[in-house]
Order: sequence, then structure tokens, then C-alpha cells
Amino acid sequence: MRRVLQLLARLYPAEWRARYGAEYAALLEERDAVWRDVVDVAWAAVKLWATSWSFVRVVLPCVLAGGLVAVALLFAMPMRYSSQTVVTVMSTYEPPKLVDESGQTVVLAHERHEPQDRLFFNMTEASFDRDYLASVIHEKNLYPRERASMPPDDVIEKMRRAIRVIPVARSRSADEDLSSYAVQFDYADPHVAQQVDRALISRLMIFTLRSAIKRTATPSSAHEVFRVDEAPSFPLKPAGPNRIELGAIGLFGGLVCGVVVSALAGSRLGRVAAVGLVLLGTVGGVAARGQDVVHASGPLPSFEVATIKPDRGGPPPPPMPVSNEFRNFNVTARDLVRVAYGLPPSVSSTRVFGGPGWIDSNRYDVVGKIPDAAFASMQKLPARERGKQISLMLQALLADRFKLMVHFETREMAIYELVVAKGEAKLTLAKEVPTGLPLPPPGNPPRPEDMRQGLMVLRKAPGVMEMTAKGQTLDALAQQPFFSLGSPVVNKTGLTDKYDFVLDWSPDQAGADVLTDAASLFTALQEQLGLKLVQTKGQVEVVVIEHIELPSEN
Amino acid sequence: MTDPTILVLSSLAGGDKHGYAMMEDIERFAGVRLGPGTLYGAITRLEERGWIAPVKAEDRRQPYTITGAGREVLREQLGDMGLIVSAGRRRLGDA
Repeated sequence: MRRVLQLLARLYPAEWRARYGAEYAALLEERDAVWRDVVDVAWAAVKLWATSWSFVRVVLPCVLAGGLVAVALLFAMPMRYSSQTVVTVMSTYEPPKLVDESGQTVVLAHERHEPQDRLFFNMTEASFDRDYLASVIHEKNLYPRERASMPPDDVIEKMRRAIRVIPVARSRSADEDLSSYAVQFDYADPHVAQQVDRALISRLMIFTLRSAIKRTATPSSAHEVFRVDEAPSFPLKPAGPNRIELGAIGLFGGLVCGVVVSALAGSRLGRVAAVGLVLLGTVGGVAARGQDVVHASGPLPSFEVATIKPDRGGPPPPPMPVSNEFRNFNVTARDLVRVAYGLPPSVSSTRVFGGPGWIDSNRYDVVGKIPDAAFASMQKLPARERGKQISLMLQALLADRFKLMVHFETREMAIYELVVAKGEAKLTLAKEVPTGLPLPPPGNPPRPEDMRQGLMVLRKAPGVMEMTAKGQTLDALAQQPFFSLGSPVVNKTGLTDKYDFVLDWSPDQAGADVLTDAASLFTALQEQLGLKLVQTKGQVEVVVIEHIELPSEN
Repeated sequence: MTDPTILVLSSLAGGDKHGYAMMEDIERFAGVRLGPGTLYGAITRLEERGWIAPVKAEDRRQPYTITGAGREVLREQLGDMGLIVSAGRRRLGDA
């Protein structure tokens, strides 16, 4: 022990050792050492260095050390290649129709496809079940290192997280109702990523066709039900790890360490910087916490009548002529909880935790009739508020029939921050919308120019998407399902007005088979809107299931 | 009351001492076991401020003495502490 203390004493600054070294050594020899002295002697060395150096001289080496650690990690971490396939599926969902002030029945474009997205996400979750993923892992010999050290379920979960399904395009005409999705798979080997993505698409196609045969009366051809628009791409460039992001994390981590050491050593500047970092973290955490989750602020509104039936896999009932109904078919209980709390669909990350196994396996058909008075008053609300009202009704239904009890927690998760890029945001304030503006007759394909207010994404050309937004806040933009890149997006621009804008981008330039002039989503946001997506970690509010029971009889 | 600088000044107010003797003395009168790093951190600061000074050493062990300025500072600090101690005692009904 005494030897350890003497070695530690050599870490003190040379100038200090020249003055006090001999007497300090004499003290260490004379005194009976205890383990607490090791910490005491080491900490005194840190403090002496920190006080003998300026704030910058303490922080700078820490920042550089953080950067070096990041570089070392970059070399240690395997590259991640992402293969992407774009598929188009026929919609089996009939959207609810709302009555306009002029008496016309209309459907707002940006509301139209969300239930279809949910159906598709459910389909992918059902297709890529545990047994199937286990068979792919075995067949393709995926994750050999993880399989040697982790339980099988953790390896399967890792593969599930590597699969992303993103809505990328919509088109609609009088005869067809189609939605397109990018199915991506990430892996360390680009060849394997492409092979597995191909296998996933084959599986998904079989599932979709089987489901269509059960649900749809007469699909004239398989091509109408499921179509591969872009074959599994061969990723030329790695999708990760993000060098810039990892470097920034390393440098920031070093900065935090340097500031902490400097503050503990008694530097006034260090204390000020530490307080600044804490405030920054608190503000960031609070800002991220408030997004998305729908909280009740009073008694919950409820459906007039509601039925919950186990999904039998048969065709859904025909759409009601007047759709003041919430209808959700072939959904799991976890999915219902997610919808009830207003969380966006995503296969790669869920924000609903807890609950028994059956909430992911049992599937239900849910229909709820919105009371006439509530339905009429909802027509006067903005689209987002209407969605919240339906979420609250679903919360009441789940509490009644599933005896659902939840609590909210804040957990650290990967998030994207939407921020203003260097300079100014290139956004145009929304024009005032005249209330009585006539809309195109229902059934016609929607056109962005006809849209009064909302958000529409269309495929402009192969590999190029166009998003048209009218009267949209950046909060609404950040929470669009197609915008969620596997992680929640938080609007940190500080901009609260409503804007009109158009954004053209290529969903996956690196892996796209069709090379276009369009920029990636990240570049397009920066160049066309003056906004930037920054990946970081943030405190995200999640829903934790405390209690849930199998639903009671109708 | 466990500020190492006050403890060192209080110890030296009773006579010149080297590091080990100070640690023993402080443990005896205050019940505080100062670590070597903490003790020499306090000695470094006190000597820089001119409140203590080294005296002639007979071996590697370096004795220190409290200076006039050090006595003044200690007197001030103990006076402040005395106010707190007497107020606390009064409120507890002990005095």
C-alpha cells in the first residue's frame, strides 16, 4: 500500500515535488496507510494539476482524449451497411370521411394513410416473427459473435432492431389505393445485408398475398397487391457508424470530463461551465420530454359503442357509409396502447414498455363509434386535435375493457433533433386559409395544389420524393411517421409559426438503384428548408404498462 | 468545522509541527483523520497565502509554524464559528 502511495506521489506536478517531495515522502513512510489514502493522494494530484493549469489547459487535453477515444471506437466498431427495397402494397383500409363546412364529404390528405401504415407495420411485425428471424439468423449465419455470447432472444431482438420499415410514397387514383414502403436491413457485410433484405421481402410478399386472399374479395392479380418497385440495393457506402456524430460525442464527453475536473478542483470558470452544461442538459431533457405522448387533462371522452373481437383473419367488414368510427383491424394490444397515447408507428423502436407476452401475439379488431355530438364538434378542430380526441377515447376503452393501467417514465433513447442550420431557416409563413374554399370531389386523386391545409408526400419520380406542406408547424413535421427515422424527432428549432413548404429528396441516395440529382433527406432539409437533423441521445417520455388483462366480452 | 486549513492553523497555533505530528494532533483534538493528500493540499495553500511558514528542519520531516497573518485569519474564522456555536447553543437551550 505504501508503495502504491509513493508511486501516486510521483504523479504530482514536478514543481510541487521539488518543493514538497521529500517531506511528503517522509510522511507517507511514517504513516500507517489505509486504502482511503490511495484515493486521497490520487485526488490531490488531480487537484494540484488542475489548479496549476488554466481552465483551458485542463479542458483541452480532456477534449483531445475524448476525441482519441472516439477514433479508437470508430476503428473498433464494425461498419453498418443498409440494403433497401421499395415495395408498393394495395390498401385494405377505407379512411373515415369528414364533413366540410360546405357539406361536402372530404378526407384530409395527411390523415388518409396513417391507418394503412399501421396495417402494414402490423403485417411486417407478424411476418418477421421470432421463429422466422431465428431461422434467418441460423440460415445466413448472422451475428456469429453475438450468438456465442448472448441469449438467442437478445440476438433476435438485435436483428429486429436492424430492420426498418419507412413509408416513402403515396399515390391514389379512383381505381387503386397504393402505399409504398422502404424495407431496410442493416448489417456489417453489404452482401449479407442485401441477401437478408431480399429474404425479408420474399417473406413479406407471401404474408401480404395470403392476407389479401383472405381479406380482399377479388384481387385481379398479385401485382396489384404487392409490387417490388426497387430491388434490394447493394450498399456501396456504409450507413454507420456516423463518424461525425461519434467524433462529436467523444469531444463533448471529453469537454464534460474536463469541466467536471476543473470545477471540482476549485476553478471558478470550471464551475460556471459546469452549471452551463447542467442547464443545457435540463432544458434539452425537458424539451424532449414533452413531445408526442397524449395525456388526458380531464375526464376521458369515450366511444358511444365499441367492440373488441379477436381477429379471425377474415375480410374486414365493409366501410360504413358515414365513418364517424374508429376502426383498427388485426392489431396487437401493444399497438392499441401506442395509438391510444399518440405514439407514431415504428418497427425498430417502441415507446410502450412492459406487459405480458400476449399483448404482442393476440390480434384484435376494434371498432368504436364516436358520439354524434363529439363527432360534430371534432370537425371544427385542427386535424391533430381530432387525432388526440380519438386517442383519449381509445384510452378510455382500453382502461374499461383491458383494465389497462400505465405510468409514464422518461428514458434515454436515441433521438433526432430538428434544428435551424447555419444562417436562417428558408421557410415561408403560411398563407391564411379561406374557410369556405371548395375542395375537389371525393374519389379524385389528391393533388398538393388542391390541399387547403395538411401535409402530402408523393413520389415525384423514381427515387425522388416530394413533400408538400401547407399551414404546418415544425412540431407537426417532426412527428410525421415517415419522418421518424427509427427514433423520435424533436423540434428544437424554436420556430412555432405555421409554414408552407415543398421538399424534394431521395430516400436513399447511397443505396438507390436509380441515381438521381435529388439530395438525401438530411441534405435536402438543409439546402431547401435551412433545417438540420442532428442525431443525439435525449430523454424521451415512454409509456410503461403496469397492468393489462385479456379484454372482457363485448 | 472540518475545513483542513482551519484544522492545520489550529494545530500549528499550539506549536510548530511537521506533517505527521499535525495529523496526529488533529485526530486527537478534532477527531478528524486527514489524508496525506488533503493535508499537503492545505499546507500548500496556507504557505502560498503566507499564513504558515517552514522552519529549520533537522531531517526530511519539515516542521511548519503559524505566521502573524495566519493567527489573525484563524482568530477571525474561530470568531465567526463562535458566533454560530453560541447561537446554536442558545437556541437549543444549552446556554
